[in-house]
Amino acid sequence: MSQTAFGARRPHVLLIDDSSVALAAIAAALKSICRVTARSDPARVEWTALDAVDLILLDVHLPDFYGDDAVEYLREVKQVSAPIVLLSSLAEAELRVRAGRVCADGYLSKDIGAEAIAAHVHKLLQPSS
Amino acid sequence: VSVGGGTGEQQASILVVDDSEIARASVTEILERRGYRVRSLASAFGVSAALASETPELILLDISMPGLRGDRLAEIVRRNFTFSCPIVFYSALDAAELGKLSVAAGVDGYICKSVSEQELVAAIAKHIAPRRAHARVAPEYQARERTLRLVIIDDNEFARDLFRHALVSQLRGCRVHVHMAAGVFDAWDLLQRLGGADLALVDEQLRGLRGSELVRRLRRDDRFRTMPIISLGSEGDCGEVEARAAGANEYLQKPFALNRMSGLVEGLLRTRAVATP
Repeated sequence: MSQTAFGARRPHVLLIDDSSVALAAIAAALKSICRVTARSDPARVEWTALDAVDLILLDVHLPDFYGDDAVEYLREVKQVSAPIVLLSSLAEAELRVRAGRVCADGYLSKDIGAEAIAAHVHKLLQPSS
Repeated sequence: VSVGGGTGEQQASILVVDDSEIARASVTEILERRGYRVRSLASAFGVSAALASETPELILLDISMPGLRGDRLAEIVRRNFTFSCPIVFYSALDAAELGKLSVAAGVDGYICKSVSEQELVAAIAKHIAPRRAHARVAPEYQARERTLRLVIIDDNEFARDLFRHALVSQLRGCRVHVHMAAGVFDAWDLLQRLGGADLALVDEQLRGLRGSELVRRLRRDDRFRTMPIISLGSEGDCGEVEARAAGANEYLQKPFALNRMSGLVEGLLRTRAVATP
């Protein structure tokens, strides 16, 4: 396992996606590089009791609202300080605009597949040089 | 009523997809005269490039086109390109057929090609105006120094709180009290206690009873007969027709963009501000 910015501690990623297939596939791919908390619904995340999270992967197309609309709320109300990366199968142009509009820390297309998503997450978890 | 993208503000852009050259030219001419910026295409070909360069504020789609039909195109656009831009069918099919196709494709509405120019413009403005609305409602309530009472009924705790946050941010400058309930029976008790409210958001899928059943019961009570209600539906439940039949003023299908909710809230609060001096 590679050394990360978090020293001996395994980085912790919170993954939120209402699609059980995507949730399972992405969580499985992430397990080799970090600890994963996978939830199908933001309402099922214990936001106040959450262990230190290093990155949040947030699906855009959730059943009750769009994930990008929750970014500002998560930061202001839930006091989330970890980077938030939007996940979606939307076309890249639209996803880029949506991520930019709410100042998300990034976006990843689901179309690249779970392994490629994990590889990007691995890169995002590296110490910035 | 002023419509269009017109003066002062940035012009609203509309994407028209119609295989009839005459329809394209006529709609473009009508809308440009009203201050909209119009891009038009003769088929589904080129739609992805058009959407990639700029997400319009409305997409007007013909149904019967060679190649890909408009209803099928709508599904593809919705799934792959934009979750939030309103899509409206504009077709020569009759209203009943268009209504069915609209529901099946999950678009925001339809306009029959037989309508007059005024009706076309009004229908388009109705879909665009809410999205361009900001907190212009605030001064009307600020001046009155009255506390706005808003009610959110939704069994998803996160969604409920997110909607509250959005409403409070939107109405910054007004005194706002947001009351929340998770189920029909809690909601009923809450509303009885309040004896009225300025606006209610009612989710359709609630524990206990369906949201539309709650709305129907509220409408029988004088204190709630004119309370603005936005019904929040989900794919697969009774949908817009039943929600409106039960007495909801507006309907949003989840998931919806929060700025669309803000637009509807603004519209309903302004109407109420004018109606109840």
